Amino acid sequence: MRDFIIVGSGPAGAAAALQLAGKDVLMIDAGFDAPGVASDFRGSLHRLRCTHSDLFPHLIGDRFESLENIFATNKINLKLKSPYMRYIIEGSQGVAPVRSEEFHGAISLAKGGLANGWGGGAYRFTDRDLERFPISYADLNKYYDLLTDHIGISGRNDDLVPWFHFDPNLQEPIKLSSLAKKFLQRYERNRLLFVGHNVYVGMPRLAVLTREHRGRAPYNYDNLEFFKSRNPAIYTPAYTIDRLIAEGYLDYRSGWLVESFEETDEAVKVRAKNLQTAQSRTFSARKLLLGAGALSTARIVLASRKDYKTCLPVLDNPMSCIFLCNFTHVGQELERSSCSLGQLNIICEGEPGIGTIQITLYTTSGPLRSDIIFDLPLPVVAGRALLKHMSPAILLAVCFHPAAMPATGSIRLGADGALEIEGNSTKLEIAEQKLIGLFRKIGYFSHSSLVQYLPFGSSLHVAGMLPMTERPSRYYECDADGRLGGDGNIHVIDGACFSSLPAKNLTFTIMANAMRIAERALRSL
Amino acid sequence: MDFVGRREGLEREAGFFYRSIFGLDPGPLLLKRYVEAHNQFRFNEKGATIIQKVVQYKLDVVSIEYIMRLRDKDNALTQRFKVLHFLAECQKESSADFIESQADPFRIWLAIVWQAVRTVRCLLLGSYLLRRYDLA
Repeated sequence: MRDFIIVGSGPAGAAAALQLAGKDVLMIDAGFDAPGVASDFRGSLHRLRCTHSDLFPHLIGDRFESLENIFATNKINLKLKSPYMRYIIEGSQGVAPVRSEEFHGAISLAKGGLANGWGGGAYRFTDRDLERFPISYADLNKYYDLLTDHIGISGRNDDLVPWFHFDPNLQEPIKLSSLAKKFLQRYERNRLLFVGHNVYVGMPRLAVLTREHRGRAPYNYDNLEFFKSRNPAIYTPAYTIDRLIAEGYLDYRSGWLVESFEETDEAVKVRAKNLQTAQSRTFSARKLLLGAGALSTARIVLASRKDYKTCLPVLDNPMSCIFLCNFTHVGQELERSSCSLGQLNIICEGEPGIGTIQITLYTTSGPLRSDIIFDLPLPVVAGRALLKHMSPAILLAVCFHPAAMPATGSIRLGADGALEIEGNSTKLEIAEQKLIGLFRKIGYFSHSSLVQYLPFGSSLHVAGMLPMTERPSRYYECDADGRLGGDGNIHVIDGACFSSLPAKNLTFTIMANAMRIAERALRSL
Repeated sequence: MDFVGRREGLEREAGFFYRSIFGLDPGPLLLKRYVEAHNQFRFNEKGATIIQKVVQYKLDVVSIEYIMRLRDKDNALTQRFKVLHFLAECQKESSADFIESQADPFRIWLAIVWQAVRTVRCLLLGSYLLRRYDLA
């Protein structure tokens, strides 16, 4: 019998494994790995598009993977649909199905989880963010620091320090596009105006290297984030897993899908199915750390109790997108060296009934134009021409709103093993209107008709099914140590145990919290 | 329709659409992929007769697609246009249709104004054609 079984190799599993390195740990994981990338698909996206005669196998895929959204009701996230990124969500609908009309999220069976395709946003939660959690920033601080050292975080201690915390160990921020640089300069010139509206702008904190770190190369501005994962500069938990395996600190078993667990006085027994042979096997340990990803963890917990009735809450950051145009950049040449990562962060404070929202500004140079053209209310020829001419002048502001209990979504396990998800995204227009008015004053124009409100689950920030509370009142709540029902040896370490969702990428905090719970679990062994 | 007939029909359709959108003939690789995409996916068949009519009478398909998309963004014609666009965007010869490579603000502002005029034309013409040929 092992001391620990960790389920899943995403941010939670990888961070827990890192914390428990050298201990008796078995990690069970589906573990689909990234496919090899053809040798001719190298260099920057801009250069490839101008010089490569045919990018079809790389951008669309021989199985037309990238075209599936044209025919699907529930669209795949743009970052997950291209052929080299598809492994991140491959196979999940077959072995871990989700049934939903409204849900646009995703489940990953890949080594490293959904974070193989994340934008790298690495944000510390503040005490205000943790208001509804039974823990405080002081409980996470040490782990945030350890992770910053392990991963390498770029950013700057600027106007956003009150929301992101001061961090002396940041690498230099990524180079901004000229459009984002101008936005920041204009904000700095008009700071009083912005601050008067409780809006603050600064550099994002990204798990993206701008100088070499622990053998990983710095970011090369190839702008292939929509088409190729495992850029060494952009952290994925798979790097941690690979390193722990290579150093002999982790017994990693891939190809297994955990279905359920059973807790006895002596041990926790985990039942898993081999994805190749379909044979089942039981693994035993003294403690079980569930980090399969919030939805999968909830599925395992419900399946273990054969509970097909209970509806668990689902939190999801409501999202909207605002196209911003700086007309002085229309007609400029597209920048050859750019990136699809977050350029700037904006914090918008204190809208009544909404709370703090966070906005990330992106250029539109990353995704295929065809993914955007048909969303414009223009004839296709005009839409294409407009996008071509105006791309150098357009920034996309992606707004994340906070989510708290009572949740707007719920999940239930169907008798056939499918997760049934219901929910809707609340449409909160007040902040968007305010921001459009404010941005206009610094020369970045938009209109409320150009704001897109994305469907439930689009943020891929799904959490809160088994929330941590001070005193769990039922089995489907965790205590501050992530213990299911507040007792026993089952610890939930991923986003499922989050008590609320502030308007931030939650991955970095999932990792810090998983390390904290792993250490607490080790102490109580 | 037999296999060859279906393929030829799809190629004819793709050729007509492509010329209307990009102003030139598509290459054989693009046509082949257009046909393969039809084998791979289930297209919205509700609009199949509309498409036949549009191709047969060589109507202004860009205007018609625009009006149909404003009414239903997943209509059969828009699906076909999307496929063509994705296929074209992957090819080097189409890169100039998608990526600005020359800084020339005057020319570009002129082009934008022209597209605005063209949008109004599409709006009017598309609405007329839909009524005239009973395509709604």
